[in-house]
Amino acid sequence: MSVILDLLEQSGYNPMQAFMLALFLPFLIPFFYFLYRVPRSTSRPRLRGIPAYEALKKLLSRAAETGQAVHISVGTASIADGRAADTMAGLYTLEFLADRAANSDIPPLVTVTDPTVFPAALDQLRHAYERQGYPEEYRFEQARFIAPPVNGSAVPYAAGVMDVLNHEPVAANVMVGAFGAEFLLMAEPGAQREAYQIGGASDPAVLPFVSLTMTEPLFGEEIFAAGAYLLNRVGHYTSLIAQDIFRLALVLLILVVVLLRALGLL
Amino acid sequence: MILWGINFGVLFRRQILSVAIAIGVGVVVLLGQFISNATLDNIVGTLLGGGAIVAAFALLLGLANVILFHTKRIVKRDAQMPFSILILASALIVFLIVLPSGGTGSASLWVLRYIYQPLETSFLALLVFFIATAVYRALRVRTWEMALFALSAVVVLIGSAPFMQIISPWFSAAREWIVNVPALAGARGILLGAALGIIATGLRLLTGIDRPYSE
Repeated sequence: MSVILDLLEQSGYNPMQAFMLALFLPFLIPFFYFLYRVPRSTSRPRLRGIPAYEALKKLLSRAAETGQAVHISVGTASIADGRAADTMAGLYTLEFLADRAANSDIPPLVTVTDPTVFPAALDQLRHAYERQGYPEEYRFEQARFIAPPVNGSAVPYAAGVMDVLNHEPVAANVMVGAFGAEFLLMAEPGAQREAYQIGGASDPAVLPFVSLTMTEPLFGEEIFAAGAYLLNRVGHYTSLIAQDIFRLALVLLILVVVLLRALGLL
Repeated sequence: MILWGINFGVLFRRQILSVAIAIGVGVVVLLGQFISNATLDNIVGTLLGGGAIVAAFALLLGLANVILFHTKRIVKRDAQMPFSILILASALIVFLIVLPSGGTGSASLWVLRYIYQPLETSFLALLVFFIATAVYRALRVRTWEMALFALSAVVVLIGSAPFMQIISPWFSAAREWIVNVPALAGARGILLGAALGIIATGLRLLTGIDRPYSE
């Protein structure tokens, strides 16, 4: 990768562009290889257990016991900015929970802050009810637009979510997506009441809040595995395998470089 | 409908068109990140501008949702009715103030500076108390992870205090080590994993494996 990085920088790319390309181009090889291989394989790859996803699978049964809704937040980012992948992870979680909710008497309660995410969340809910054969059960208000970000700040949204969690009958709180410091504002009241909370983020600055407030936390890249763990999609398995292999290659590369540096050969 | 031998009905029914548009736009915007070309930059700019227009329409949908939800609450005489009245009334008042002067007019800026910003700052101040209660709760859990977490937090907090450098330089050195070695290593590992996850998500969208847009 460092060779590609040097070549790209010499070709006139700025360091950020070079880093992106150096990571992107070699990743295409395992991605397309496994995209070809996995659908032709008779068995699905075995995934390590992630307690938060196991808990999500049982969440609706848990909510059904109380008869209360499950609150779902897909983060505070847009689907058209640099943190769109985190929002997508939240939308996969929403898709899974919406499907389960459509099959039960427990309506989902989705809150949204970004205008571009709102139609996507509505779409997930509508399709879930259609897939399960209950299109008439879908309601426009099942997804609630709380407030748009003001100057990039999601604090108005956090205030709205706090109100929802404190004053409405909610059995569990699920928060998966891109968050900032507002994560603690939204999750701490629930944690103080010992409410059941499942959530995660990929931003290292938010992870201490995730760890302190969530009953079942998801850390970093774990949120991007939602599609494979929850929706069981071949394309998501493919990318998980490619990610693992590429990560292993990077770790080996780092170790080799450290070793060569230590021996004075680099 | 068949034109020039293309059955547009089939195209629309099978969502080929929407997938093709999504992939095409994605590829063009991605190329725009790596290739410096005036024509390509113009196309990317136009596409991103189109995205902003779509976002503006989506905001109208959100506004309709807010009005509908709170109007229903008022009609049903819900226990939260007073707050719904307050939300709709304040939205209307701000709308009336902003409408004549525009989004960047003096009246709009006055609302933002003297009403919104103090509210936001006060609300953010809650974070201090929330962090304190969260750490206190963590200390009560009594697992070795939480003990390590709390110990690191205390060392970094004390090591950051200016007077501690006079009393004992050990805390400053310990803070530097925690921040620059284990914390940075962990953060870089997480960031690398997240970067691969982001690339994989982007590729799934570009190849049409994932289609988050309406079918």
